[in-house]
Amino acid sequence: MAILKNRHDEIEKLCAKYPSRRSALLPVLWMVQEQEGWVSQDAMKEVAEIIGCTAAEVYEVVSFYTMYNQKPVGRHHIQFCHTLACAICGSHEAVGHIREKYGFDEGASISRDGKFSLVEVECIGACTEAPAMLVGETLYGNLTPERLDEVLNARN
Amino acid sequence: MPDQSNHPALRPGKDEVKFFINGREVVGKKGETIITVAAREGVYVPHYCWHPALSVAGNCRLCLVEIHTPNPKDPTAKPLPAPKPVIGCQTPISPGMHVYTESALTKDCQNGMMEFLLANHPLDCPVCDRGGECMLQRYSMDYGHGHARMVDKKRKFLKPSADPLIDIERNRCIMCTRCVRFNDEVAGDHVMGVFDRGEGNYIGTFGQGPISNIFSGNVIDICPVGCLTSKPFRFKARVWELLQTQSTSIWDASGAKVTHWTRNGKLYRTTPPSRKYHGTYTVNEDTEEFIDNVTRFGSDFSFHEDRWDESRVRVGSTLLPGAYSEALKQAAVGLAKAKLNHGPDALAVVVSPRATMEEGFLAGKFARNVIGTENVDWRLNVSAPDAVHTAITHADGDLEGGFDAVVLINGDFVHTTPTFASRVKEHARIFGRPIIQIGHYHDPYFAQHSKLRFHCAPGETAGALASLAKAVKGDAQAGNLLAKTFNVNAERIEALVAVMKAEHGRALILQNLQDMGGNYLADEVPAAIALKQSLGAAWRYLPVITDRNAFGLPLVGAEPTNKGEGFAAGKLVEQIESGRIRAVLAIGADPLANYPDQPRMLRALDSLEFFVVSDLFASEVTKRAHVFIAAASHLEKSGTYCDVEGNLARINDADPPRGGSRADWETIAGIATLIGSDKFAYKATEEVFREMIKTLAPDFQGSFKGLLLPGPRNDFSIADPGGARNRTPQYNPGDYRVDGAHFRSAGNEVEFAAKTPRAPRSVPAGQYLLAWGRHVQGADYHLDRASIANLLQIPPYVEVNPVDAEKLGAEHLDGGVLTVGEQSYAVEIRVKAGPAPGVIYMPLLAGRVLARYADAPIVSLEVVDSPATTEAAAH
Ligand code: SF4
Ligand code: SF4
Ligand code: FES
Ligand code: FES
Repeated sequence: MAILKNRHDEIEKLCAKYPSRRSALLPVLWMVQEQEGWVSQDAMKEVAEIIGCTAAEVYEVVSFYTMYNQKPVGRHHIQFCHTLACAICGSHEAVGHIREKYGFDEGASISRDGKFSLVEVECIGACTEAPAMLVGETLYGNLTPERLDEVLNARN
Repeated sequence: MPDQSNHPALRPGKDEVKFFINGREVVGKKGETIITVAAREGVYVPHYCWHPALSVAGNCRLCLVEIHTPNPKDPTAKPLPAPKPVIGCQTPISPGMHVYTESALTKDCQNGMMEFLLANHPLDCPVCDRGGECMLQRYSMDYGHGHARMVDKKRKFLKPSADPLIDIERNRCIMCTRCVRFNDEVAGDHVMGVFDRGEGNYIGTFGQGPISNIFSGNVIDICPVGCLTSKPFRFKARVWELLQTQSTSIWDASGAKVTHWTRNGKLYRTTPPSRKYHGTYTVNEDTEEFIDNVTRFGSDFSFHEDRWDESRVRVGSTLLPGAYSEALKQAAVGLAKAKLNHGPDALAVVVSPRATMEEGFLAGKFARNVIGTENVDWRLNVSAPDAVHTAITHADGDLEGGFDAVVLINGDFVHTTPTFASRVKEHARIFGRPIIQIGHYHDPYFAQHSKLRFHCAPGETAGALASLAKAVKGDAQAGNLLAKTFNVNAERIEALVAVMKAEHGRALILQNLQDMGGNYLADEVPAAIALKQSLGAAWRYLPVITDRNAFGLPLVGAEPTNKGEGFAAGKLVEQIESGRIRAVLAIGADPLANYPDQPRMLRALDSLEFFVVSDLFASEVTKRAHVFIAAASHLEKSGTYCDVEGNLARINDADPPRGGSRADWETIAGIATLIGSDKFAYKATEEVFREMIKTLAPDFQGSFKGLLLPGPRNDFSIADPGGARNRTPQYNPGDYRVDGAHFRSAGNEVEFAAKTPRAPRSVPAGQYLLAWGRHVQGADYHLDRASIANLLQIPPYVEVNPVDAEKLGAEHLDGGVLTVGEQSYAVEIRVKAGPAPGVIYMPLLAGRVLARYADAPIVSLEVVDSPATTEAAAH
């Protein structure tokens, strides 16, 4: 029990909310991700033991939702929408712009300096402001190259 | 699924639903689905994800059917077509519904679904091991298109699979999730999963780990396509070129049936029984015949290079190869001489617990009629022979017709009799029946369905059983005491007692004869039988044991009838050392296999005046024989086995005996004839069988349908056992059952009063009591020689209760050193809720690692993290 060692009480409180412990799986995974930034295999094993299911079941859930990061992320985690509305409004170009300007190697999901990480996700519900992205938990819409630089430089 | 149709609680007429399949009126039960009723009525609805042993997933959509339902406004009017086709595997039947399995719409659905399933499927059939028995191939022929319209690039997955036995070829997967559900529901281990989503969906295990349970091999058959295939069988042969021989497992006393697939004297694979099913031979399609991995992968030991297929006779200090007939003659002369010099009781016949009933029968007949002694026994591996005898002769339970509740006493059931345990669990799962576990070891396999658990200290179990018996009889105090001692809710005990007392209740008491701590069995067996006797006629008692023919051999007299002072194979050494036994005839029995003090056993064997062994391999034991007789393996002979439920099953010869070897029954009959008896003139096992059954059940009138001669001659008549043999199976599931009777040894109906139980042992702080049991995956001198023995046998491990694990600072799968007296053993630590706190459970690895002790020894356990240190400590 390494990762969630000190959070026993919180977890028990969460589990008590549901008819069965397994139902607390999603929120417990959130706890891991908030704390660590991503969900490692060790964390999945640990969560499985806490919740009372197998590691395979945890991995089924983690791999289903793109919101859980299966790899370590940068200091600022960008989730760029690539679904229809955003795609039409230029998400591919925007992603290319980020990759080029902020130091992403070919195929890498983290920038060379570790400041940014980038994944493309499905619709994040901000189609009216397409193209849109999330940096951490903050939503940014109507992104042009200028506005992108403005947002990201502020964090560089 | 166990048939509950004759359960007393189900009254005929009640819950009947009448509806129509393709215009024909049929009757089903309320709650049944279209596909089950159709299958029963002989109407085939194609399906992938549905399997009778598993829960319904409804994801392949191949079983779509057109339905019309009665017009609610005017039931006499024409039924209304449902707005959409429905899936037959999940849709419950309803009165007056019309199901069309052949209509244009249904055909269109099937055709369309096949096209989707094949869209990404590779054209692998020529190199795919599933070819010839693949449901995708078959349905493509029956329901598919014949040409592909898919022009896009096909999806491709990586292929890593860390499982040593099962290969994963993900591109062929149709995502039916049968394998996931099988592992979750039957094997009790959700080790496989569906990962990612949408088009990226794939099947696998966490971290590409192995599918580590004893049933994992079944996913090979249960996968409808060639995604999960057998690694040992990979690219070895095409299935249609192999000869199928119907047989039964020689490892699992549950009596699992198997098919051996051979060609030119080579065994290619062993599977559950193959059946002709919709035109092709398939394995485990719409049947629930699962087998354990030892049964599946362990059968090729007879091809091992250690095999001695010529008989040998000792000349001076060497065993010289010679003719079988010469060896028989020497054996007969030697045994006769020993009898003459020391009297008949100085001779002993020891048969293997895996001997067929015919062999056991002849061994008994030989000992009694030819030698004139009661010294014949199969219980080499049993440390409490009298308790085991009592248990087996009082067995009267089976799973036919199901149960309302089941009590499990002390043991690792899933590793003792794997398929039987899986059927108990399946019944509990499907019908929601409670499982009650009592003892100092609770099987984690049943954890999910265990409604009540009494975790006893070793020695406490008999007392707990006695209190339970009292509580059922209405003694409220006993119930309260139980609740207090074991810290369980008194109301739950009351609810359980109500189930136990229910008028139509049917329940089972299952006891594991696994030696969970040596002579506790002497108290626990009578206590369990007493519990059953106190509960009334609807309760049944069923002990289980790993020895394959433990239930058949006592039945045919392969056990001494004089108790107490009589011979016991488990005490062979003592009896040789005391000079009581001077000559031994060992039939496939390895006295060394489970004996803790190997040098002592070898010294004893050396001191024998005459020692005849009939066996397969060169070993420390056979090298000490005066006469070695080359025996045929289970693939080369025929014979009968009896399982824990009292059903008979046959092994059949796939090949003639190798080299100069002969079946053990011929050997015994041959020696008897040479010594001068004229009562052993048998030409075939069928003749022995006939005589055996006449002795066993003189009035038995049932038929042995399908038992003796697989093939067109399904009806074996006792009067005429001969007949042509055709190895092609032509029978239906169920044919193997012996109609009408279970074979049971007659117990002398003693009333058992539970004895006053012993007080639990006191254990010094920081130490533990060791409980152990034999395990089908434990070492065994035959299994040792299977080609993938290293993958089948388990590593030495101990199970520790989570409470103790925390005290020890041990985590699951840590390395450890277990110290028993002077000896230390390197073990893997598994944290499981199986053993009671203060108890450490370890499977008995055939004397190699742990000895049989008279009582549970007190041990200590130390955690060692690094596997390297663990290795070093092993020596
Ligand atoms: S899974 Fe079936 S259809 Fe697919 S390649 Fe193998 S044999 Fe052919
Ligand atoms: S591997 Fe086989 S059984 Fe498992 S989901 Fe795929 S096709 Fe079905
Ligand atoms: S499509 Fe991009 S937010 Fe909806
Ligand atoms: S069999 Fe009905 S959906 Fe798969």
